[in-house]
Amino acid sequence: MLEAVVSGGIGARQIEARLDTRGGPLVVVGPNGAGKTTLLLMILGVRRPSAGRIVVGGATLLDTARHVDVPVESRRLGYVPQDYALFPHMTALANVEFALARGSTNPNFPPRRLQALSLLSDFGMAELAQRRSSDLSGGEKQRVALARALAVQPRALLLDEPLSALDASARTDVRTFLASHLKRLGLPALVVTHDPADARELGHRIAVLDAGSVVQVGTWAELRARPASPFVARFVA
Amino acid sequence: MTALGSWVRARGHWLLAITGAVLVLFLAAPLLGLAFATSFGELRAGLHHPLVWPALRLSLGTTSASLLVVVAFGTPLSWTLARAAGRFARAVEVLVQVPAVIPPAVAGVAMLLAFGRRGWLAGFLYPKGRSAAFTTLAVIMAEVFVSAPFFVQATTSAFRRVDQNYLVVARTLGASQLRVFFRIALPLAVPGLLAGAAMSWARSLGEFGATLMFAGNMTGKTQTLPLAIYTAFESDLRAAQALSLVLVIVAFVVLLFVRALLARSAVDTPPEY
Amino acid sequence: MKTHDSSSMVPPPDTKRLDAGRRRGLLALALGVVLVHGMLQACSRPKSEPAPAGHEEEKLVVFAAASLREGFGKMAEELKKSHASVTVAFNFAGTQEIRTQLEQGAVVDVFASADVRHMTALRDAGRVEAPTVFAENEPVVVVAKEKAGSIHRLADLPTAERIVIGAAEVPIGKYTLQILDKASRTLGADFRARVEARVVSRELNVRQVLTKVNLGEADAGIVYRSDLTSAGDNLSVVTIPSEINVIAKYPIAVVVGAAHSGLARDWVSLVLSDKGQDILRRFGFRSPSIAEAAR
Repeated sequence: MLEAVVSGGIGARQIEARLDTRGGPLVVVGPNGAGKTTLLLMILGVRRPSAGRIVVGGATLLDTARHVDVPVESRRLGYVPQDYALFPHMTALANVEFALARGSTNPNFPPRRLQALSLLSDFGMAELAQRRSSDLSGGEKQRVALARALAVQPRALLLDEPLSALDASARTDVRTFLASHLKRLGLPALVVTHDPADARELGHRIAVLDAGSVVQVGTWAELRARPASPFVARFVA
Repeated sequence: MTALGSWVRARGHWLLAITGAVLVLFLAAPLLGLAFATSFGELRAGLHHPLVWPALRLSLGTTSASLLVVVAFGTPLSWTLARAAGRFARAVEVLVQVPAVIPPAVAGVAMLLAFGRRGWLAGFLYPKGRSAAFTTLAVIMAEVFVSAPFFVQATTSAFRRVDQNYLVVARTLGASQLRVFFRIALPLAVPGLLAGAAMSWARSLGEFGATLMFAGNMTGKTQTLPLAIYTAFESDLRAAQALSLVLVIVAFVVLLFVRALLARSAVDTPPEY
Repeated sequence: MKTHDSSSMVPPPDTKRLDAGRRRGLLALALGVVLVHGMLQACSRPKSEPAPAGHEEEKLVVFAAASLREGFGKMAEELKKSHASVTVAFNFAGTQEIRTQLEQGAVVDVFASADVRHMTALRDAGRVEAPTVFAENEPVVVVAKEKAGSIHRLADLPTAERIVIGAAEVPIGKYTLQILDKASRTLGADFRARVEARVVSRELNVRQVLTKVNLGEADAGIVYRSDLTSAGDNLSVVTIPSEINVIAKYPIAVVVGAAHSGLARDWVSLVLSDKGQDILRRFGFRSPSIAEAAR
């Protein structure tokens, strides 16, 4: 499970949030500028909150009170940013292998290339392994990005607008695929989105962020029944 | 929209092209003048001028060395500047641009005042008393001084243009800062880097004022091609013209080669595997 | 998301657009030529502009060797006393440079060189009228203050660690080599070789030689006595014995086809007059020996 309590930020982007992934993936929604991406970056360790505590899968990644701050590269969190950020000068395979580089030097462990291929084939991308990442379609990129994120054997998955880069026709199928995959993996997951359909299908609960604060947390049904703000009401309509 | 307005609008492409063409002609005219004024015989004779080969060898050698220095030290500097925020970083960035603005001869004097016998670093650098002035090292130092700003400027821009997201993702995938730099940032910035290196090399090839002042003018040791041209100019204008043509041709060929390299790398960079 | 790379100069692989682009480019270039030609025609002035006599400001253009900068500057002030409406425009540079500019068509009234050779060439090419030697300049050895104690005479020169002289292609360099050759007759046949072994730079301009000794980068150098007037106190001077020394002769001439030939002759007269000679002497020059002046 992922638990985070953070407050702080830079300049106008101040956030104050408390959330967890109890029961299943948590979807974070909110209007533009609400601070959703800042929140993600704080959990990843790229931004530093002024105060907070982040515990993922039992490991304390941040505890400002006890001066614990695990650096970004050691947090082992799988991150898929908006537009997927596949390294354009590398193939799909090389992208995944990049994540494995910090892997084991155990000679019994299968070599990186095999591991990477296996991860890609989990997502049905084995045939496209040698394709340049800039030559892949949106849906293909998303799968490679997921494979890459999983290569670090992450404690949790953080996805930022995973479907917004896809055209409408692909979105439904990929959404279903993603939902089932998240369930299968069983990892704590945080999904940032602005799309109500994503919120309904991908998450067990939804956290609504507005102007840096969490205004409501609950399942889709709970939000529908008792919306805490006009924005929430419009969102679940 | 007036009649003139719509006329201009319809021919927008042409007007832009002609404006550009005027500048191209202006730049090409003196170079063509050099070419027209020098017959083949004179060019051949120029190539046999005693000053040419030592100067050409020296120029190619020193500009290669200074390019290496500029790239080796300039790349980490540009990376740091591209990622640093704050007043200090901006001040450093401007400081690095200044050598490009100083008249080269003044730069030469300034280098003497720092690295010369009586320079303020003399006691620290030269315990035995012999300063760097009048050596081939001085030529390289002068070239680095005047050409570094061009490389740093271009490379810093190139690093800035690398999407932050790539760097963030790479870090989350477990890569250290060094690995992110070498495997992600650098490869993505290489076209800009190459262009900057070409500009920097071209500037150091043509460098004259600072070299003359700081390194002096001795055949084989400090007399680069521009200095040889100017020396020849004092006695034989025709020989100077021929040598200038040699310099222009060498520069043109190398820069063309770099351009071709850049074009190829953009269209069909082989994937990493 | 993609990196914007700087090779945006690469044309898109679309051949139809390529051909159209190339055609447009060539035609634009041609039209540009026409435009530029037109602009130049509009801007050019007729070649010979007779100077309007009378009360308007007249401008005399003098090209002179760099070492004459201060001396001729003072000379211009002197001219103002008798020709109030005249301004003198100078171009001071190395003799080769001003000669080239004159040969390439610069508008000049008077030409003063540091070297008889260049003037003779101009005379033979019909660019200047008969020249007159108006001054002489004596080469001297300058020594940086750190070494002043150890170099008192010309014979001491090879003991300097670093010597800077003029390049053989410039007047001072030529004179220096001649002096070293003459010195080899009395100071040892290898004198010139010993001195040249210590030479670290052959400057293209006598002022550069002076600067380097002044800055202490070089221990010693050979410059003109006239350069000393602007040298400051960082140097000590060693006179070269007259039997070894080679004196530079400075000729002056009116340029053929000068726009202000009357004024030009007035300038030359001033330079040759007692007042003019006096000014030049104050700046370290010598009056030409009687034999020269009479030529």
